[in-house]
Amino acid sequence: MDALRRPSPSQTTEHWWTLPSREEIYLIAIKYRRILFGLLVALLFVFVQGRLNTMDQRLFQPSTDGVRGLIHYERGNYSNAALAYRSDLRRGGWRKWRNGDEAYNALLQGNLAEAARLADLQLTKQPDDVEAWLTRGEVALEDGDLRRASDSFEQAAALDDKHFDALLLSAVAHSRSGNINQAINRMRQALRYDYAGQRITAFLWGLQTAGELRQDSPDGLRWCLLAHYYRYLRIFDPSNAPWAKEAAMKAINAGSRIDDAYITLGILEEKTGDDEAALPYFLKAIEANPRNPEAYRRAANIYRHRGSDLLNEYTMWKGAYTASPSDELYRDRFGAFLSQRFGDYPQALELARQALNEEPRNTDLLGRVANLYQRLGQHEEAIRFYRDILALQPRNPGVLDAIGYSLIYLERYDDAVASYQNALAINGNRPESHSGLGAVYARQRRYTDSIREYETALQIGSDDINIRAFLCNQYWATNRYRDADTCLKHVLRLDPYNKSALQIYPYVTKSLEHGEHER
Amino acid sequence: MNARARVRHKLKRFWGQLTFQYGIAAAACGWAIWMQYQYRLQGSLIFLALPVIGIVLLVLNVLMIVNQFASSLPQWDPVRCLLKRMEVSAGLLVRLFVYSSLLWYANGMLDNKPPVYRSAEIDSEGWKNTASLAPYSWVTLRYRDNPEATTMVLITWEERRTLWGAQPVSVTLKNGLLGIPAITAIEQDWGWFGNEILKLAPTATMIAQRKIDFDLTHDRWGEGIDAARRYLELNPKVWETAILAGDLLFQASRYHDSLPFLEYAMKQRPTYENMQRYGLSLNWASQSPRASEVFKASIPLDPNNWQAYYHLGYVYGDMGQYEEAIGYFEETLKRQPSSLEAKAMIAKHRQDIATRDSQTRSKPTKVSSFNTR
Repeated sequence: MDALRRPSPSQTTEHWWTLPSREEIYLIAIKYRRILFGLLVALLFVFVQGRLNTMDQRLFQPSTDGVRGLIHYERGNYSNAALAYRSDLRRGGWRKWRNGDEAYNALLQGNLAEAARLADLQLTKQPDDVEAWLTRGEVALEDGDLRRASDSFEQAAALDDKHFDALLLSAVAHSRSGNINQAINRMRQALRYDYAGQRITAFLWGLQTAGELRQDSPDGLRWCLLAHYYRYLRIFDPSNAPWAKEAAMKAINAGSRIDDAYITLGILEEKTGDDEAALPYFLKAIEANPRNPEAYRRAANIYRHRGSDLLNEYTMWKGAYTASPSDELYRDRFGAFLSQRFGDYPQALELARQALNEEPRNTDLLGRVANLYQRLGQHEEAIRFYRDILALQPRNPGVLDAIGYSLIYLERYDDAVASYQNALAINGNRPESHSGLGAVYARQRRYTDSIREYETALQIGSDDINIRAFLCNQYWATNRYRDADTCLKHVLRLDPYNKSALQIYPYVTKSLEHGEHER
Repeated sequence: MNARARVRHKLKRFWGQLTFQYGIAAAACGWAIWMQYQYRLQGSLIFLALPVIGIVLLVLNVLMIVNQFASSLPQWDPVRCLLKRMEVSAGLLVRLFVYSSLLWYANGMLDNKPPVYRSAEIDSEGWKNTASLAPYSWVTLRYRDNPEATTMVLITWEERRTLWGAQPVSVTLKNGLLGIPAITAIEQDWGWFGNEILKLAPTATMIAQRKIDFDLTHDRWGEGIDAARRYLELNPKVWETAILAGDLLFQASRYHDSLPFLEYAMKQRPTYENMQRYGLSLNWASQSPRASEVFKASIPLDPNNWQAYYHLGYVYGDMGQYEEAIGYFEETLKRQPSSLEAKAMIAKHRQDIATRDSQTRSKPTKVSSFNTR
């Protein structure tokens, strides 16, 4: 009977263009329901595993307090979560986070009096100890002394304006004392670097403050600050991104620091990998506040990722620098862009010299100015600035090498040899000094010496393919065709488009063939 | 049978089901896609067909995997019936796609004429909406010489990384053997970008050099020469830019245009190499006497170098002064004993001298012919 009811193959044969009917789809679903159910379970498992994998380990602590903290965290109750995690720290979790700083270790254990005493002791010995200032500030925060805490964090930030924990904790102190604008400034400053601090206690203060801000029915400005806190927490758990987005949207709707809120929205898009979706937000931030350098910087980065949108990238870097000309970050990035991507050495030099006027003993700036003079072909000037570095760092072989390089251009070969030899007297194992000597000797037609120096540079670890190519040239110049051939093959294997090697290889091959022929 | 043996058995069976027919079809599709990207057609109609082709290819892949399970199903099973119908449709479309791709590829490849460069503007980018549905992207172009019309073109993954939409581009076109124009490259229009950037930062060396390089390798001679001149007026010390412009013009056989730049570089930095460049260009620009002066002037800078002698050999050969030419090639050989070319040129010029002498002997002079008469 069953066989009779079953349709024959000829009955089911349809034209190839016929789409499957709804009944057919239902039939497939019923027949393969177990497979479909299995797929559903697998998808659920993958989703849960994906969610847990993206969360930072610090949110999973193997203790009752740790689990309590995680539950509060997952329910969105961040202030209670922070309290539970802090309790976990004090009941043994501190061991995982301790370091060589005794004051901080005491703070982790909850021994506030001891932490304050040790931090004060450290500061008596070393007043510029940033970590000690932070520990003292955190103790004051625990005691509810916001003014003292704020002063300590400001002191730490003044000592190192790139210290993430100092900036974050300063933002926390300002948030708690109601100085919201200043708190946003600090968060903005902290989040512009690509790292997120070392101190677990700073993270917990950030978590707690975010939770408290949310509970206190925030106004527009606080929504903007909250957006920054969620942006920070997103680093440890991407599920904070929608919250950051919501907070930023509310700040925009309330008209509070719209530019910073737009930057947050842009960064959230950027973190998903969609640079092009992020760009309009940064441009809106610029439109809302043309004096916001961070908006320009973020937009410049997007243009940089495009690869060759140099026109827009230049406009943005210039905007960032113009908006905040005294800020080292924007000035340095603009300078680097001008010299590395534009080859606009005169403009880059102008910037570097301005910076040097403010910090005339900054060796990095001196080096940059000297290097730019080298690139402009003004080697006398370059040497003058390198000599200024030598006055501050007399035993810097890198600077002696750089001077040697300029002396070669000035065709003062004996002086160049002396400079490289001085560098080698300080450190005999620098491949750069040996290869520099090799270059001078080659120009002096002292080929044997040149070969010796290039070979030494390669033996002591230089992996610069150009040095090997120069060596091949010297082999060729001294009619060592067999060595030149082996050397060139090595270069071309590593760099098939090496210009120098490609240029002489045919001559070497011909010379070898000719030699064979004559033999 | 343990689990491992069962898995191995399943895999073996799966491999067995991947028939020769499916393999060939998949490979042909891959090849056809590659051909489509080598010589891309422009227009809108093709873009209606391509998504379908993409889906067909996807279906084909699914078929190859699923069909092995279907073989054990009864004839009336709905999945098996569906697979059968899909297989027939896929087969037809794959054939159509592969044959048409082959035709368009031949059209582009067999055209030996040099490419044409056209300036265009990307009107819109088609990769955003379709990237998740089909593995290809396209742009809508508006040519500057015909701004009324737009056309759609596929872009490669490499181009997708460097283009971002709403920007000026240069399109490299081949006219095609069958008269069907095919696009071989779409690149950022550095002529335009360079102009705009140099207005803001006139001392940007890398940008100026990039613009000059782009213009002079995309048949924009006037623009490239102007850009190089303007840059050198503003940055007279950067003689490398003059070398760049001069070399590119020389490579494009525009010897007369290259001369002012190479002369400028030689005057700024009278090195042996720069003098060789200038001398070579002078000789190719039919100014052999001046070329010989430049090459001779370079010899004291590097007397052991063979290059100046080698070039002088050719210069005097071109002027018909074979004895001098032989002398310079011999000097070349002293410095480069393995140079087969120098040896061959000496032999050739000896032959030239013999021919010239025999012609002189056989040709009667005006005076003797007059006397004869």
